[in-house]
Amino acid sequence: MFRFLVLHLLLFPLSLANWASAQSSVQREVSSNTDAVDARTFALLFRRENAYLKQAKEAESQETPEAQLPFIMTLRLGLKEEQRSNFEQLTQAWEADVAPVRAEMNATISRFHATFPSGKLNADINATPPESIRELRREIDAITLQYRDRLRNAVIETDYQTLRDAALVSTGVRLTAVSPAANGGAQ
Amino acid sequence: MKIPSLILLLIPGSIYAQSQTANGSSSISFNASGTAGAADCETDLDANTDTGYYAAHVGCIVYDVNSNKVASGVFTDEGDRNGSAAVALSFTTTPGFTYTVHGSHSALLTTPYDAPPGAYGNYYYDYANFFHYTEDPTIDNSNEYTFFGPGPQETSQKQTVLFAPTTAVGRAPASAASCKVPTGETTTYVRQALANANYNPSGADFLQTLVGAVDNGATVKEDTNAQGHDTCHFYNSTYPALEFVSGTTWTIGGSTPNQPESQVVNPGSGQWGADTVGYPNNEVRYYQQQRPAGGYSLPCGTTVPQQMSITCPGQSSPTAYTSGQQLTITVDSTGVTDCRAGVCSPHTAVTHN
Repeated sequence: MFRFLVLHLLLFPLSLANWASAQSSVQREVSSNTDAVDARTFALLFRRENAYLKQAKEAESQETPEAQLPFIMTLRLGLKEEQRSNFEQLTQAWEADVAPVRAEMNATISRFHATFPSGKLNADINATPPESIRELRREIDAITLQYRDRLRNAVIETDYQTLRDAALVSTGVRLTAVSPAANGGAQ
Repeated sequence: MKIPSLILLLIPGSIYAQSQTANGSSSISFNASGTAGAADCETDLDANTDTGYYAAHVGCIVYDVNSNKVASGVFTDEGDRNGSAAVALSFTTTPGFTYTVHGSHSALLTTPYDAPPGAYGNYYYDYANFFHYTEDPTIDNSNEYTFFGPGPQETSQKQTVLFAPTTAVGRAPASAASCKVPTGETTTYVRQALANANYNPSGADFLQTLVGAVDNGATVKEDTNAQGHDTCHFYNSTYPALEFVSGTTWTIGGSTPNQPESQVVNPGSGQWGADTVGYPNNEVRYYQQQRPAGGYSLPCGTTVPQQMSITCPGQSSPTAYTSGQQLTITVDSTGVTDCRAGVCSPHTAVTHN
């Protein structure tokens, strides 16, 4: 139902007679929105890999399923064994770069919420979040795209496309592209 | 509440610009040997929703082919520290077996709101007005889900916004190299048929254990070519003679989909089944009544040879591993006895009255 909902909203400016051409415009929206899709996909991919690495590091032995997690990720993304360590390093570096921005974003949210009397909102308070929160989120997305590009440069193009396709499937964000305001539409 | 499509077409352009999404995903994958699995579930808030007013929440449960829970986890992004909630599960798997992950996705409203004059109870601020479109969430049976919820902002007495669940199914790789042709199998009587109404109680469920191999994830099939002999069948009988097996295929090491008795017998590692042996109930009753009426004797029965073959993962043709054991069914005036490879069920009462 909701997939149709997204389509309907995209088609709002179009007449029903233009339904067929509107379907095409949706496809164009998808292709022009690659960065928006990738910002979410690769952030999720990097988060997941870091979670896998932490679990594998804490595993009691190589025989446990936790220890297998990084290998499963390698297999899932179609990475060659020699590409795995580079992927792991990039993933950890991404987390280190994102963490201070996220911390600043969280601090901004906390300061904003601290202005609510007793932590509560009422009709007299402007509840619109400060624009800086969204700017910081965009900064995180930009960092993610930088690391996507570094990853792309580290592998040959065909491997990158295989990796990206696998990431899209496993993170399930392909549909998000058809949302007109995905990744920071105007409020 | 479901929103008619026509109404959505009429939503003003200003709301179109205020859209926001929550994204849910679940996925499952395995290591190369099929001995370990990873399942991931995540709920993501987009830039318009990741504003401190919501805490993403996710639940993740993995089931095996017998619907046993093999791993689970939940996570709530308390305080909206990450803008997302993720659970990464790892678990031991059996090669060749299918596993299913179910993700549940929601967001908690984090900010209290003053109750309207005269109202009581807790109110929360729903900045994106998610509740407006999630009063009747739709299950879309896929591993991805995108929620699209335009404003305007409002308040709610409910604190949890439920999004649709996600599901992903995967099969642990089975190694063809480790799959061997068994040297035979043993048969155990388990119970009278229970799940298949046509054979409850006239059929008997038998469970087989491979000898000389485990071969979980491979399949076994009964050969339909060998003809037996049915002594219950008579000239002008309503039912045809039961002289051939049905040609069923079973999965080794777990329940076989679409086989009702296999769901209640639960084969273990290196086992397959249940193989249900028997005439259907109505045929037993028919022969109990019509054979004496027509001057034919009881007891009567049928004997059908059954040859089994195995197909390992990646193979295209099966290999026979039994030379043909006998399936026998005996009907008397009070019931039936069903046997496979010399192992018999107790005499089970089936009467035509």
